[in-house]
Amino acid sequence: MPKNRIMELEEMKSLWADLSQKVEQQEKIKKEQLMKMTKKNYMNKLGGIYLPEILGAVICFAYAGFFVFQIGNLEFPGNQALAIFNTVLMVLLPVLSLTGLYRLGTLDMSSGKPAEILEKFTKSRMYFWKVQRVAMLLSGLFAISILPPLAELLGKINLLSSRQFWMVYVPVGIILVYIFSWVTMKKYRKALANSEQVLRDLTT
Amino acid sequence: MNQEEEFVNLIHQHQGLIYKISSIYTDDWAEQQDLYQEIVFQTWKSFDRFKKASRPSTWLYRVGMNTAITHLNQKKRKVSVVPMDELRMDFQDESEPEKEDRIQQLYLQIRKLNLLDRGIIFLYLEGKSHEEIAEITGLSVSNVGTKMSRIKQKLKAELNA
Repeated sequence: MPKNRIMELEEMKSLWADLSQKVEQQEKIKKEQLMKMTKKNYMNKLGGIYLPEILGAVICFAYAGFFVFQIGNLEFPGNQALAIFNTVLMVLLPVLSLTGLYRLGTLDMSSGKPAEILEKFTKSRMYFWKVQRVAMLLSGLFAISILPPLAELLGKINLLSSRQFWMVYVPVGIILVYIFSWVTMKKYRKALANSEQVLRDLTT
Repeated sequence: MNQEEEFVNLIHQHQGLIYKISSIYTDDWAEQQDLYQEIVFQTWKSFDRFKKASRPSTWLYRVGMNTAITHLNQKKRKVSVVPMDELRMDFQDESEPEKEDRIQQLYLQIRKLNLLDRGIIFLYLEGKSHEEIAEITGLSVSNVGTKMSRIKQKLKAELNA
């Protein structure tokens, strides 16, 4: 363990020069390995980040399409309204998520300088967190409101007029959404506060 | 020489610089590997826009710092790194344990600073002038001076704590 002794800048500088020399003498990664590694990373990113998001969006859009065609089969006006609301959400939620991801992913590491990139990135990240917060609340609403039209489509039961729906499903759903929101909001608030601090540091 | 060869030569020539950026922005070996590969990847991604008029090292400092700043905030979306036996970032010298302790202490002090200050002190330690630091980071020369004084104060405050 290092001793707890704080160094002055000049001492740090001379130590860094020694370290730099050591780093330069270190064995380098072979040239052929470098390109192999870069290509593999590219494929990993494509498969690991964008593919699940895109797949999620495709599934949402497919469900939205299904609802659009099924709205005519719903007899109860309340369920029709909920089906329209859910269809809009199934298009809106993935679009919001993909937009946030796109904004983060399109930051060009070479065109800006670190101070600018840090500012742009922090703003994009704040936008991403805000979008996530809205998306999370909408998802909670979606989880409850999708049940009545889906129940009618599957078994012709009018859940909206059922006591069980209002006495069990809705309260349980609200409690779950509340717990989930409370935990994630806490995290989002902290992330947003950190981002705001980064922006303040930049300007002072 | 084709673009791929040019890129590989650039990275091969400046591997030490990428190693150092990775090590000041992360404290864990696996994260250092991850960041190292991310910097190489981002360099490749933006290699088309690489202007030969600007000095390659200046450009790499910028891409490296930009990547480190953004990468540290994206751990949730991290994609596992390619395992690389050749990617060694072990600068430890067991023959000089006292020096090794001081190096660890140096990293400890740098990593306590915020993201931009970490970059500024890194460039300072690399021997860059205030003008060069300003050119790389995008801050004004006077702002670099102010930030350097604050970093010194922070380090002194710790010394007196």
